[in-house]
Order: sequence, then structure tokens, then C-alpha cells
Amino acid sequence: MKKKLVSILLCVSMTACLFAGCGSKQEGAEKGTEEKKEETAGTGTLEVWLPAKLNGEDEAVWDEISAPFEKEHGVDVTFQFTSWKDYESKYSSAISTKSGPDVGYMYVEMFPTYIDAGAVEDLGEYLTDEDYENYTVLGDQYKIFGKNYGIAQGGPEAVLAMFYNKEILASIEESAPETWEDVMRIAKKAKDAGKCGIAQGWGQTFYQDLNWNWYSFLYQAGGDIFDEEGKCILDEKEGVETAQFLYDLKNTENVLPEDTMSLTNSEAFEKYFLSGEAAIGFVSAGSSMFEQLKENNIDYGFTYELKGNNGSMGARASVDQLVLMSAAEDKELAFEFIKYVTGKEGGEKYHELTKSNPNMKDQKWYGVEEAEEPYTKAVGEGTIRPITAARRAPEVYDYLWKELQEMMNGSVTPEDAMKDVAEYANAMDYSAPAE
Amino acid sequence: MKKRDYSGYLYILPFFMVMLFFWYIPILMSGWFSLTEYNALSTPVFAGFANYKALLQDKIFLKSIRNTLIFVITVVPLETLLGFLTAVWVEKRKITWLGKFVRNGMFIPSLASASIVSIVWRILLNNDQSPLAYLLSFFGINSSMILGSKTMVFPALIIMEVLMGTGYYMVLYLAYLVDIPESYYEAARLDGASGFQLMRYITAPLIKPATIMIVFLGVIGTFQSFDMIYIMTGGGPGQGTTATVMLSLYLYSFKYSKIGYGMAIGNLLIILVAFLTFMQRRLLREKTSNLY
Repeated sequence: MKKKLVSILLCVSMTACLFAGCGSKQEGAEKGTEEKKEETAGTGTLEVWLPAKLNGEDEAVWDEISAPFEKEHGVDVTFQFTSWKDYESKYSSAISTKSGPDVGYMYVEMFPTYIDAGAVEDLGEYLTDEDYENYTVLGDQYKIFGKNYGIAQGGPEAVLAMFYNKEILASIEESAPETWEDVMRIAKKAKDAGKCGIAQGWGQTFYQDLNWNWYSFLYQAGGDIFDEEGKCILDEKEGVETAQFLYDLKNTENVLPEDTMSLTNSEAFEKYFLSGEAAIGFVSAGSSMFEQLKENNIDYGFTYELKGNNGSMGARASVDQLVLMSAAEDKELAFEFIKYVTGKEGGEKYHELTKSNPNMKDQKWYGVEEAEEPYTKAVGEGTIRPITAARRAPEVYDYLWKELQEMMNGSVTPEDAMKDVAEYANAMDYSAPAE
Repeated sequence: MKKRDYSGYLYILPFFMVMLFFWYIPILMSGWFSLTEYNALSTPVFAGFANYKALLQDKIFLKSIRNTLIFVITVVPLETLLGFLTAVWVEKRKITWLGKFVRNGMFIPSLASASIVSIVWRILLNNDQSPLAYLLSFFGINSSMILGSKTMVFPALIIMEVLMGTGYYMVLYLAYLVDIPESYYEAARLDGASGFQLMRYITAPLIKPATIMIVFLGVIGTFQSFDMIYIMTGGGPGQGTTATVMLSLYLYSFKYSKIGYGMAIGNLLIILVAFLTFMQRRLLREKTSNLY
């Protein structure tokens, strides 16, 4: 009887623990939200979510930047850093369960879903004329659906640049390429001289390499992926012309590496350009890339201003932004924080610590010295620009990337590939949800 | 009359609650969400069977079902057969250093994270200086062409999956093999049985329960293959060349924010696995060996 009683008690306690476990999660979350609300209203707490992108230095950098703000406003700013890979899924889970941050971080592809769900604030009411005057990242090309939903902490980053190997170019009696025609000619001559024409990789497993292999070429042809309404216009002349140029690199002129379909673009650049084998490569012109080129003793040149057949230029860049979440308890405080960390004091400190590009007029340049003048010129002239936001974009990008792989593998023609992508994209609803 | 003892229900209550909250309720919820248009942020909108209808017309999804079935049909028999043969080989040499080396060497890959193993495979394949590249060059294969080739990549993934899983099944077989009494073999040898006959008429029938379990585990596990394909190819190169059902589920649910559509894929996967498992059980109805 005693044994039976003990076992029954044990079972009851286990079940109770189970319920407590399930309950505490929910209760805990509710309690946490309540506590957070109380704290925010009273002592002032601000929760900020960011992707971890500073090689493990995120916490130290952000603590240093936010310390003066916390002191001045008597507020405790807590940061949560999430890996890039999990950032979006974690973010959407948190927002859907109403446990998201006060201040968040978004890249262009993320915005539409959150805007449609009313999860991010339009900053139109918060920004002053002075802000529009001082910030260089609030212009039309940085707006999402015509509005400012965030402020970028730095100027356009991860800008696509064309790098060329001066030594190889000299050996084939060529100078810096300026047009697609130059690129094709130089690549063919380099290949004939036993080198690799262009260090380009098409083996990325998802659409990330559109950043280096597609958008900028499309801009240089004078095109875009979506029009203002969000309709996919890749089947127009410019899209087909871009696809044809890339197709020819591999299938007509054979100037790409043999294993181009297995390597990501950065793997191809490392394998062929950084080893001094390739004449040309297209990658992000960040500080670390310049360091790697120097470490490998490559005699290189670079430009953001490659011209397409009709003389258009374009270099794709990222302009990720800090956003004010609609669920923030103290929106004024949260916006103050955004302005501080993107502004003269906090923003400048961030640029200094992370070597990022200026986002305001008359700010000091902390990046690679040789990139300052061409970068400033290209940003000023609108050559460097971010991609356009559109609903259902990630799905279209993924489809586009895989269709481009099909095309590069020779399974479809450039024209059919573009037609197929446009049909796929436009079969989906891309209109704004009803108010 | 003796009173009925209900304490047994109390014993299973904790586990039942876990099953209820973490298995059955989510399955029911996924059934509901699959009938809606839902992106995790907005309120779900009832859409009837629209997601299922769209799925059946989705060329890439249909390709992913075909790929998954090919994956299961090739990987499971190969893993089972190789696991069995290796276990028999190792069992005969269990006290030698070679036997121990092979046993541990085969088992280690199944302990490692599939993501890490996949990254290592990618490096081995794409690096011209790797031992694998050197080995494959003897057969006239350029290893760095494999992941980008529409014809070579799927067989390569099958081989990698088999190599990763065989060690685990080998250990399961070994656990059964040590239980077979040595006297059975001695008696058969006295009757003049050959090595092959020993395996065919004694070993294989006696480890039938293990085989059934391994095939079940293999089918369910292979249907859910995700990490390796996601990391190595992302379903490419091209449209759905190596896409599987699990990969499609992940992409729609988490990358494209189409939760309703993703749930519909998940439900079809459940139905498919349940149907195949049921068929498998019918085909392998005899669970235990009649020699025991």
C-alpha cells in the first residue's frame, strides 16, 4: 500500500511538473511582458535585437556605443544578438507571439511582411526637416514603398565592385575594363593566355549570390526586377540582355572556371582571383576584401562604375536599417535611441569601431582609404544603390537564382529563363493588403 | 470481486501529456493552419483546400516528392545492407585492433552533427588538393564538378547519406549479433554449412527483428533528410534538382513566410510516411524469428 501511495504521489508530482513547465512558459512570457512594460514605463528599459555581424565583438561594440545614451536617459538598453542564419525566423516567431523588441534591424527583403502586418512604425511623423537634411540615407532610393520605416546606421555597405588583376591585364596589353564589352574581351584574352577569365561562382545554395552575380549587371543594363507596383519585369529587354551577357560568359565564350557551378562566388573569387589566376572578379568591396587582396600580394584595381551596353551604371549595395517596432511601449524613447546610434555621436562611434561607411553629411571616413573617393562619388551619383522592396520577394529571388543556375548549366535559354521567372513571380499576389 | 486498479493510467499520464501537447495538438493545429493563408504575423485567413490544390500543381514540389522517394528507395536498402555486412565482418573480428578501428571509425560519423559533416564534404569536394579529389581523379572524376552537375550531384548525396548512416545501423546489428548463440553455428558447421549458408540460414533470420527496426528507422529518417541537402545544395543546382519534401517544407515555412503552405506540405509528408510505414508493416508482418 505504501509503495502504491508513493508511486501515485510520484506520478502526480511528475504531471504537476509537466503542467508547471508548460504553464510557466506561457505565464513566464506573459509575466515577462508585463514586467517589461512596467520597467519600460518606470525605470526605462529598451530591448534591441540585432544580427550578430561583428565577428563576436557585437556586445562589446554596442555596449560602448549605447553607454552615453543609457546614462543620459537613465535607461537600461538590453541587446540580443542572433546569427544571420536564424535572424529572420527568430524575429518573425517573436513578433507573432508578441515578444519582439522595441528596436529591431531589418534588411530590404524583410520589410514588406512586417509593414503589411503593421509591426513597424512609419518614421515620417518622427523625422524632422533637420534629419532629412543631415542623413544621407533617407532619400527616395532608401525608402520602402515610398516611406521611411527605418534609419540605416551606415551608408550603403557590401557594395558590388569589379576587381581586376593589373598584372594579368598588362600581360595581355589591356587596361582597366569600363564596359561589358571590355570585360568580355579581356576575359577571352586572359583565357587564351592560359589564365582564368572571370572568377565567378554559380554554386551558391540560395539566392545570396544574386548580390554579386545579378543585381548590378541588371542595373547596368538599365533594368530592375520589379516595377513600382511590384510586378516582375525581368522578361523585358533589359532582363533578357543581362541574362544573355552572363550566359555568354559561360556557354558561348567559356571564360568562367570549369567548376563555376559548384563554387559560391566568394569561393570562386578566393580560388581564382586571390591566387592570381583570374583577370576579373566581382565581389563585395568591404575592408576585409581589401585586406585579403593585400595579404595575397595581388596587384589589383577596382571600380563601381562598370557600364552596360547602353552606358548605364549600377552597383548593388545593402542598406539595412534600424526600425521602431509598433509594439514598443515607449516609442519616443525607442526612436531617440535609433537617432542616437545612427546620429552624429553614436553613429560616428559605430563607424569608427566597425569601419563602416558614413550615413550623414560631413562625417569622417573610417573605411579603406583608397575606396573613399570612388565610393563617395558613386553614392553621390546614385550608381551605388540598394535593391527594391517587393512583396513575395524572397520566393521570387530564390526561384530566379535557381532558374539562373538552370540557364548557366545550359538547360534553358536566357529569354525562356526570364520569361519563366516573370510568369512565376506575377502569378503570385503582390498587391498591398486592404487597409 | 477484486477492484480494478487504475494506477497504471497514472504511470503513463506524464508521458501521455507530453505526447498530447507536443505531438498530437501540434499535428491538429498544423491541419488547421494548412487550410489557411498565414504568414506568422497576420491573422490566418481560411482558404479551404487551396494550399493542397496549389501543392499538387507545384512542379517543384512534385519533383521534391519524386526525389524523396528515390532517396528513400536507394539509401535505406544500401544502409541496411552495408550496416549488416559490416556488422557481420566486425563481429568476427571484435577483439582485433582492426575490428575495433572499423567499428569506431564507422560509428563516429553518425555521432557528428549532419551540418558539420556536410560542410566538411563540401570542402572536400570543392578543394582540388583534398584526399577525396585525389582519389576520385583515379576514376577520371573531377570532384569540384560534382556539386554543380545536375547528373552527378544526386548520386553523390545518396552516397554521402549512406556513409553517414551505415555506422549507426552497424551498431544496432552488432547488438543483435552478439546474442546469437555460438552453438547454432557450430552445429551448422558440423553439418557442412558454408560461410554464406551460415549467414543466409542462421544470421539473417535471427536478426530479422533488427532488420525490421532498421528499415523502419531508415525510412522515417530518410524521409526527413534535411540538413545535408540544405547545406550542400539547397535543393539545386537549378529548379528542384535535389529538393526534398522536408527542404520544401522549410523553405515555404521559414524563408518565404508561407506557413499555411508549409503546413500543407508537412501534412502530406505525415500521410505519406504513415502510408508507407503501414504498407511496410503489412509486408514484414512476421516480426520475430521462428528459430527463437
